[in-house]
Amino acid sequence: MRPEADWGQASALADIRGQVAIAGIGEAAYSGASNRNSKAMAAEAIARCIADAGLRPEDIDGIMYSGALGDQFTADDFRAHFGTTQAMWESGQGGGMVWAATAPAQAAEALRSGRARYIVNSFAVDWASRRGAMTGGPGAWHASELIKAQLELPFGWFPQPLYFATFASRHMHDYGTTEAQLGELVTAFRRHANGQPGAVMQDKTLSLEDYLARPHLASPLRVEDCCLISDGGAAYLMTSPERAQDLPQRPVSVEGVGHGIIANAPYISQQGDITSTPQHFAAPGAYAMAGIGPEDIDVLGVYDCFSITALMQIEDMGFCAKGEGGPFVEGGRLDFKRSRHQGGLPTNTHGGLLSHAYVLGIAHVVELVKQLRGQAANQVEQPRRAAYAGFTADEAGTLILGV
Amino acid sequence: MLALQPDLDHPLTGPFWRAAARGELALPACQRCQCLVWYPRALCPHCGGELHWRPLSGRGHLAAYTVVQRPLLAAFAPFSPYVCALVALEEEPRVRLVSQVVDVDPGQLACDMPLAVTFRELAPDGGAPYLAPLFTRRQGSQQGGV
Repeated sequence: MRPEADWGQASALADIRGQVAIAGIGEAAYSGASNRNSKAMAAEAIARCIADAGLRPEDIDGIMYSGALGDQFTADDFRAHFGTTQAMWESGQGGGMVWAATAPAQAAEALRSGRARYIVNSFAVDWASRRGAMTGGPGAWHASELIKAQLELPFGWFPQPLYFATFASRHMHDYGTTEAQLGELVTAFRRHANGQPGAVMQDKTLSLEDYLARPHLASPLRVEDCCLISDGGAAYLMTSPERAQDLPQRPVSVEGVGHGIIANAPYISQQGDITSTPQHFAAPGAYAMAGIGPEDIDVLGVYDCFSITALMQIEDMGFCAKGEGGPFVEGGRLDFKRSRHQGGLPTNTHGGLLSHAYVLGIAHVVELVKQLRGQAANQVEQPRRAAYAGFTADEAGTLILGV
Repeated sequence: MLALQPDLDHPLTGPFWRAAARGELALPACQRCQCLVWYPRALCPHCGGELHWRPLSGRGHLAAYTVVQRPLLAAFAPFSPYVCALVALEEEPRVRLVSQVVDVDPGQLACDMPLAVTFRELAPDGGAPYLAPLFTRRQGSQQGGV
């Protein structure tokens, strides 16, 4: 199937290389259904993030979250929870997914103009607790959109696992990708979760044989190819590199940001190339801003809502040629112990959405900061640059971090 | 609870289902530049021309598919396993119709296999049935050909 060249495009972003430092991280416990609500988890993650940065709540004068979700932690929530009264720069263009990658682009402008000095970006979900009450779980939005509701749902093409199972069939047809190769990726992330304190699947091992013996949910995908449904949250704190020098943690520098979107957004059924992702358009801008290429990335955090979406993004970011993701992930190449100079690509070293927790990418960024500080549970050997690939099907974001 | 019944009176998408109820596969086409426009919208995205619903041959190829063994949508559980598909239409292969493939052994499915439309009643969740354009193997074609 020959893709159209113009099936998507990159967004123009200002060059913010070296203008934002991540100086704090914090997490709320990751779990299945816990009866915690998302705002309470965000508050917990933010409190730990501020303490990690050596700051006090009254120091925080900027806050970012996902405005598209109605239950995220706003400036009003911050002041009410922490009992402070400060004015805050506020943006709903943060949170998880694509925006966990692109939040620094907007934060840079607020830092540069002096509207904020210390900006917290947080994301939290209570979807495991609310699973029974949600229409299709994370598929709720898809069910509410008119065209999808009228022209996709009546055929039973819903929710997300079916979309990506369908695309996976084409990837397998065009490139010879196998279920065992998807299993290599799934089990690599599981092994990382097994070594990650707090990962939801920490105590559940999964061998490739176990994986292949499991039944299909929607061919060629198994339950193990699909992200968890979790409660949890995390946050990171952004400031200027100058201010970060005065804080206790080793600053992590934002080196590059990219964003891409498909031409037929939000309708991925009509995406020009269903064996690729908009990461194809997002990653090049981030590399260009950082002045590096994929060969310079020491550790990767890729949005693995499904095994196939992680595999396609690894291709789209240029870690291997298009279609060669299957052979690329074989032989333990994604293992944290196999560094780049050993031919590896340490990926989702915390376990990812598949085996750590489904908190929509915010924990991926937190994990990469830990890796660059040398504080990770599954520590990669002295990484200098990390990349996060964020994804929402029709959009993708890329974040390159360095020390 | 999800509303799975298509709305035959909806101004944007109703004509698709009213055509299906007549046993026709019809999509919006531009009166000026003749291109097919999918999904439906107010005007042609290429030239701004007005759209009208054009009956199509119903021929196409299987662009991609999944055999749904365990539906996440409980309403479709009575049909499982069922085959969801993206069908590339003969008149414009860049248009991919979301549909189902029926009467084909899942083991015989392959991307690019030639398909022809067939109209079947669907009634998920025991609701009122609706006639839907589904697809089956096109007779007289060699499987796998394009």
